[in-house]
Amino acid sequence: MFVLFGVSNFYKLTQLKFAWLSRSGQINGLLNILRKLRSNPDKELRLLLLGLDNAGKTTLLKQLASEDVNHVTPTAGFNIKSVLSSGFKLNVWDIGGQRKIRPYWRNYFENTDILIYVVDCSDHQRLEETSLELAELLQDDKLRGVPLLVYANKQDLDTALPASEVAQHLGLHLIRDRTWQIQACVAIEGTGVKEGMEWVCKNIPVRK
Amino acid sequence: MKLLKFHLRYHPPGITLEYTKKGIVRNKDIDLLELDSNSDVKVIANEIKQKEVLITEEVLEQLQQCLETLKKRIEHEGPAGKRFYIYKTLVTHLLPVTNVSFDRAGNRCITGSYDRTCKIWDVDSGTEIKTLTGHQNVVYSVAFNYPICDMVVTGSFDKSAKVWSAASGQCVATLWGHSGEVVAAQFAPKAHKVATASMDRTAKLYDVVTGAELHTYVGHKAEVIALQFDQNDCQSLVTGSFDGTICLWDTRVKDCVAVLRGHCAEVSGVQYSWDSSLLASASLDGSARLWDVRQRNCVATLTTPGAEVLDVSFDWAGRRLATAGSDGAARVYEARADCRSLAHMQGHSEEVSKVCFSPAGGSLLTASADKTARIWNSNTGNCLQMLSGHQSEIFSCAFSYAGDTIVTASKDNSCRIWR
Repeated sequence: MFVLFGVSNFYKLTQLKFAWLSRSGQINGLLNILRKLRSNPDKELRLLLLGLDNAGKTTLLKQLASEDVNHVTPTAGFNIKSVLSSGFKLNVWDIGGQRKIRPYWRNYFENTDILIYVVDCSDHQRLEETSLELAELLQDDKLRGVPLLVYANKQDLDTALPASEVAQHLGLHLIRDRTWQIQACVAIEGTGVKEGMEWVCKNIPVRK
Repeated sequence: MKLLKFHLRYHPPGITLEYTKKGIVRNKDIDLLELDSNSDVKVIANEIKQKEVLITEEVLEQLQQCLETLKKRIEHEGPAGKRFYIYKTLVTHLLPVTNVSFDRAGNRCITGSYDRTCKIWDVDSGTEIKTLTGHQNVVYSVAFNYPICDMVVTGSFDKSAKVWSAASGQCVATLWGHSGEVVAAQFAPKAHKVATASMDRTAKLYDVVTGAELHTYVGHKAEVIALQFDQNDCQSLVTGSFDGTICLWDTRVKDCVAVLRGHCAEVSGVQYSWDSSLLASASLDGSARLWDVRQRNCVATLTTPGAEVLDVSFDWAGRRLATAGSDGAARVYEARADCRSLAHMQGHSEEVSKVCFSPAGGSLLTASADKTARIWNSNTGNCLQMLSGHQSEIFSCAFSYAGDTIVTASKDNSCRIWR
C-alpha cells in the first residue's frame, strides 16, 4: 500500500481560501436528517468526523463550510453540513467527542463512506486515549473497510507532535484492512484541510 | 330507545349520545365540525333534533346548553390568544431530542432522543417519570396509544420498534423485521395494532399483544417516512414516501389499495383530516396537495414557489390546513376544492420544520431551525408570540389537548414546556 504523508507542502498553503468549495449547505430539521440517512445516490458521500473532545472537529467542519471559526463551543450532539468538492457532495457529520457521549458514536456509523479522525497533536496526555478510541472504531463491523483519514491538528502549536509521530502512536502502519492517510493541519487557519479532502475525493470506495 | 347522557367532545367539537336500546348501553357520535364562534346554537340544535329520534322536545334545552359550552370552548382562546411563558426546561437527555408528544390529558409527555432512550415526563412538575431504555440506536419516533395512553410505541434507528407500558416503563414487545431505520410508528386507535414505516422502503403492521408481524406493505420505491391510520375504523393506513407517492393500504389485506401520484419529489408528510375524507400531503417539490380519499384523486395543489414544503397539518376539525416551508414561512389554506389561502405567516429567519394548530384552531404553532417556535393568529397571520430560549434548532413541537400547554424539543438536548 502506498501512503503519502501530506506534510511536505504544508506551509505554502497558509491562509488559502477554498476555491474548490463552490457551495456550502446548512442542514436543518429532522426531515433533513432522514434525507442524509438515505443510502446515498451517486456522487453524494457520507463523511463521519470523530475524535476526542477539543480535537477541533467542529472547527474543521466550519472551515470546510467556509464559516466563521471563532465561536466554536463543545458539541453536545452533532452538526451536519454539506460541502461540494470535486463534483462530489460531501455530507459531513461532526459528532461530539466528550467522554460521556462517545458510546453513542455508533449511532452514526451506518452508510459511512469515509471516516475522518481528528487528533489534537499538542495533547500529549491523551494520546493514548485517542489511539484506544481509534482502535475501537477500526474494529467495528459497520466501519469495516471504510477508508480512514486522520487529521493531525493544531500543528501551529509549539508542543504539537509532527504527523509522522502521531501516526506511530496511533499504530496506523499496522492497518491492513483499509486505505488510510494522515494529514497535518491547522483547522483554525484552514491549513492542510484542503489536502485531506482531496485525498478523500480520490479514495471514495466503490459502492457494493 | 332512551337517551341517558350527553357527552361533550371539545376538539374537534362533537357530542356523543349515550342511550339504551333493548337494555344495552350504546353511544352515538355527532360531529359538529362547522361549529365556530359565529354559529347559532338554536339553529344547530333544531337541525340535530330533526335528524335524531333520541333528541326530544324535553332535552332540547339541554342540547342547546351543551352546544353553548362547546362554542365557548372555541372562543376561549380569543382573538389575542393565551400568552405562554417558559414553565419547565427538561434537561436530562444526553443528546439531541427528536420527536415529542403529549398524552391525551396533557399530564405527561414523551420524548425520543439520540441518547437511545425515550423519557416519560410529568408535565406539572417537570420531572422524569420513566426512562425507557433498550434501543440500540437513536429513538426517532414516539407515540402514545390514544385515547387511553397507557402504552408507548417507539421507532428506532436500530431497525426495531418497541411497545412499552407507560406505567411500569417495561418493554412489553419488540417489533422486529425491518432492515432499515424505523422512522414512524403509530398505534391503531381502536385496535391492538401498531404500524411502522422504515427507511427499508416498507411499512409493517404488528399485533401489539404478541409482537407478531401481521403484514409487510411493499410497493414504495424509496424510504417510507410518514404514516397514519384513518381516524374512523382504523382499517385504512396511509404512507408517504421519498419516492414521491402516497399509498393507501387496507389493514385487513396486504395489498396496496391505491397509489396517489402527483408529487414530483420526496413526500415529507401526510395526514388525514378528522373524518378521514381528505388527505393532505407535503412535498419537497414545493407543493402541498389535498386529496379526496374516496375518489382517490387530487383536489387541489398548493404551490410555494422556490421553497420545499416540509410539513403539513390539518386543524382538528379538518376545515383548514397549514404548511411549513423551507423559506421560513407557514401558510394556512381552506381545506376545500378551491383551497383559498387564508393566512401567510412570515417571520422565521430559517426553515419551518413543523407546524400544528391549537386544538380550538385559533392559533398556529411553528417550530423552526432559527431556534424559536412561534405562535400565530391562524386567521390573520399575525405573530402573537415568539418562544425563544433554545440554544439550537427546534426539531418538534406540540400542543396539549386543552391547548394550555406547549412542548418544544430541540437539538440542544433539552425540551421546554410553555404554559
